[in-house]
Amino acid sequence: MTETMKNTDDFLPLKAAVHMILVALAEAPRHGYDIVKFVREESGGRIKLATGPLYRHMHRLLEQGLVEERESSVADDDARRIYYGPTLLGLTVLAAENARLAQLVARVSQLGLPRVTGE
Amino acid sequence: MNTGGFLNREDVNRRLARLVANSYPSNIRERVSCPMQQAFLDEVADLGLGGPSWLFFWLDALKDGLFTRVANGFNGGLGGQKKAPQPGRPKQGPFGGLVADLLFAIRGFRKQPLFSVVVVATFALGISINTAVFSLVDGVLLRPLAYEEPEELVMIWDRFEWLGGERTWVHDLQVRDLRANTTRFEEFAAMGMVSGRILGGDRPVHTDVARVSVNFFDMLGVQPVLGRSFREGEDVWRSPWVVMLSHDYWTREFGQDPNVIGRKLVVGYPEMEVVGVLPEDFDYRMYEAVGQRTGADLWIPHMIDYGWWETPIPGAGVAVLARLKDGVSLEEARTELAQLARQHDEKFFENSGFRFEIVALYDDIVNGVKSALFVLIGAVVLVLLIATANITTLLLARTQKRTGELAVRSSLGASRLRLARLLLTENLTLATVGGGLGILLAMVGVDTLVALAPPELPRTDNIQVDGRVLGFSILVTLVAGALSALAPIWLAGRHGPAGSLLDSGRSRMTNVRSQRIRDGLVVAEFALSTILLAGAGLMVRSFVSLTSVDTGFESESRLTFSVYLMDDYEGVEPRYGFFTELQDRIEALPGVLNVGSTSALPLSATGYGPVFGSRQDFSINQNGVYPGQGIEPPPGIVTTDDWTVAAFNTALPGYVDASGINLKWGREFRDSDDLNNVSVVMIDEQLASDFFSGRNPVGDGIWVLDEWRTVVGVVGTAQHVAYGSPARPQVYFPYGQVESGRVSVVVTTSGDPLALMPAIREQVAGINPLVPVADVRTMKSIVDESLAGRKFIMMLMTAFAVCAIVLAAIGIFGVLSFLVSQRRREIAVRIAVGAGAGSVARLVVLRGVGLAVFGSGIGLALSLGLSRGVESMLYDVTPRDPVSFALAFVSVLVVGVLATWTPARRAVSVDPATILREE
Repeated sequence: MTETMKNTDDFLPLKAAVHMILVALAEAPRHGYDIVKFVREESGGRIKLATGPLYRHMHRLLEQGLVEERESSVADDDARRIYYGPTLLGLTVLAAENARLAQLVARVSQLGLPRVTGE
Repeated sequence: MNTGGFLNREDVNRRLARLVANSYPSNIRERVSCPMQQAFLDEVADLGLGGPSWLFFWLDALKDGLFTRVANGFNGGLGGQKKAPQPGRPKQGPFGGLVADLLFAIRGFRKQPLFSVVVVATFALGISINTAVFSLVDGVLLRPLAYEEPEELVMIWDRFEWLGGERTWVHDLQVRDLRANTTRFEEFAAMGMVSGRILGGDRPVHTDVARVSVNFFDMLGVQPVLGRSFREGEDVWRSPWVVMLSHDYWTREFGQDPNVIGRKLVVGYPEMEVVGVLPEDFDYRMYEAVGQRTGADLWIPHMIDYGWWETPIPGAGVAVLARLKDGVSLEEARTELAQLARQHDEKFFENSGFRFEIVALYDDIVNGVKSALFVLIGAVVLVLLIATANITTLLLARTQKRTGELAVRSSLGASRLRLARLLLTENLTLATVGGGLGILLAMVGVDTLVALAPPELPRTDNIQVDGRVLGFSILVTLVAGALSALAPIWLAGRHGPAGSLLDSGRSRMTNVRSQRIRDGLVVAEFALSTILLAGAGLMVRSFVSLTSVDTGFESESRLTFSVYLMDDYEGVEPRYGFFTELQDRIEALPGVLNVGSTSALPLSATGYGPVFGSRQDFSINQNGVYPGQGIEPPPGIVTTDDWTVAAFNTALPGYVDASGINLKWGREFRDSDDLNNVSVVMIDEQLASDFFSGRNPVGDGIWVLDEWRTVVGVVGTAQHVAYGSPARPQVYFPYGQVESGRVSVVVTTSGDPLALMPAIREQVAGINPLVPVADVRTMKSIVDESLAGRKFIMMLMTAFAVCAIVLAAIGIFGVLSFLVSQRRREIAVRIAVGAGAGSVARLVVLRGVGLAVFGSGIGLALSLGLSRGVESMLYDVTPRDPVSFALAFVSVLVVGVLATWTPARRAVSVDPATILREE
């Protein structure tokens, strides 16, 4: 696998939308609009992702080898819907980004900054 | 739902999804177009949008696509991404739709005839002059000489320091020595010209006869079409004379009769046997060598007897052609000749500073005209660049008017590459039409060019628009076509489609940027025009100073012709008798005012030799050592410093008067200046001031041609060499005392000079019907011919400069017109709020003038650097001649202002009410 030869750090940090796309695909293979819905719902509408931009990102992710096309998991689904899933590299990058964010949050909490209350 | 007459919702959504998907750059589309469309449909269906929110949904989607495209820039379309076949679309090869593009282009041009005509005409102009000048350069410079392995052929010349290092003939004894004592040369051939006379027609005809070594034709690799070449031994003195005919002469005189071989020919020599006929394309001319510009009709062996001379005579001899051995470089050959030259200097020339000069035959032929041709090609390339810039500005304006169309194409899925190809196809179509027209023009023009070409331009037979030239022209056409489309394509790709669709065809960014490009192009056009104008100015100024030079003789109303006396007249006295009688007879003709004769007319080459100072007054001092061979210095002179080299000329009584030369002191020759009387000379002012410090030298003597001769007259200096060459002082010998082969008669007439010729021929025939008359012409034409080369360059440069400035004017006109039409609204507002006509006009004019001044300034700076390249072509004008430069600057400025006139008037006449209502 050539993907593993790439340095995962090269892809970091991920854009919020891209991060969420990878999360969506890591959970289950999804098709286009499914991803949009997932991202909108799971981010509580904070990450705005429209279909066009999604495919812009998908184009890059496909090119970078982070995601790949998958066989449809639903038997009688429309053939025009293409399902996507993460590659091994995609999962590695997602893990690295999660770790980076976790580390960042941990560092920031050490600084003793005021917390946002009421949430 | 209404599914019958109108499209249903789903259908509309599907189409919109496709449109949006297609608005993305091709690289994205290739990969995800299909699922993306489906995702849009899923989303629309899921959200159940209707009304305005439905519209905004699609508009947002489209905006993202177009913005992505803009952000992607040109790279998106042209970047080296691998193309996967697109689903749902027929695969198009690189030329798919080309015909459609072409048809569309042609339809477009018919809608805009003015635009098309201007672009085609501009291309035609640029291509035609480039084709014409290239065919000139190709024929003269680029084509290899039509001989066997021409790169091995070299010319060898003598150079003597005491002659000012000027190249001169190699003596036959030296040629013999070259053959014997060199190792790096295959062989040598000697060449010379003699006069021949052809009898048998209505009247005797003079002809140039080429005299060449017997190995000459083999050496060049020339095979006769009939008969044979010369044989070994046919150049030995007193062997039977043989002759080869030129193809032209064979055709003219013998109707290509194959039985000509073996016929006897009488050409002023003993009978000669015709042994061969040369091929039609054989065209060896000894250009600089002997000043022969038309091919010789007859070729004879260079027959000599080495016993004639004890030692080589400087400046007397032959042109030498040699072939280097395989693999020997010119440098190696030069080294060997340098060694041999040292021996010759010591053995023959008393260490007077003798050298051989060796130069490749090709260089020998073209060196004189190379720089002029380079200047011409440079000039036409500049004109082509201006033409290209001009077309670019026109295209930019047109492309900008078409942004709407291009945006629609783009939105409907035309890739960036596809749009680029459309623009390129359109422009190449125009370029092709213009180029084709230009080539046709050039074909006609080249003949004119060759006809106008000065006689010193060699190899003119090679000049033609053939396959090579055609290939060049087609290439230039395509390059110019592509080059001029570059900026419009770039601009269309960068900003055009995306923004324009949303912005109803008026994108400010695009405007500013394209305006900037157009301004830059106009500045460049003016800069290049200034260079050409400055160059043309230098040429014109040179020519003017050349023609205003006092030549020292008169050329108006003067007829001249040459008379060749053959062996029928041996020695000075019979020849002198012939010409005295001829002058008397001509003088008696009605319409003749004066008559005189000389061996060398003004502006033609003369012989030359050393002249020693008077007994009283050795004031001159020439560096170098007189070789002391062949011509003896005066007895008793131990120092060899007191001499100079002078041009030798002979004259009959009446010559000074007839040719309008100023007689300063003393007298002209008279009939009694013959062998029975004391030896006399006339000298010119230059020699008088050299030798006698400007005092009246009449009665003093100079030592020349082996004796003291008394100066009887001092005449004004007549230009006897080509303009611009350094002139030597001159000595005139009386023809009654010193003979010369050819004699040119000068006749001053009261009417049309050439009308006298029949009567004069009658008089010549009356004395001797076998004497040929040749070179009939007016003195005026001799002067014109000597100026022809410079005139040719000057005229062409001026023509190119005019083309350049006209193109530049069209350029600035176009840019300003476009500016005015783009800013009509702004101008209307200005006028509406009270701006006067003056301030509106100033807006336009100042812009035009600003561009012109800026461009011209850059052009002047560049000209200062470039003008040194033409220095050798100038006469009495420095390469930084302020007058030429100022004229160029002012002309560009004037043209710039004139070109702003119409646009400015159009701006002033803007009617605010109409315009503002329009908007």
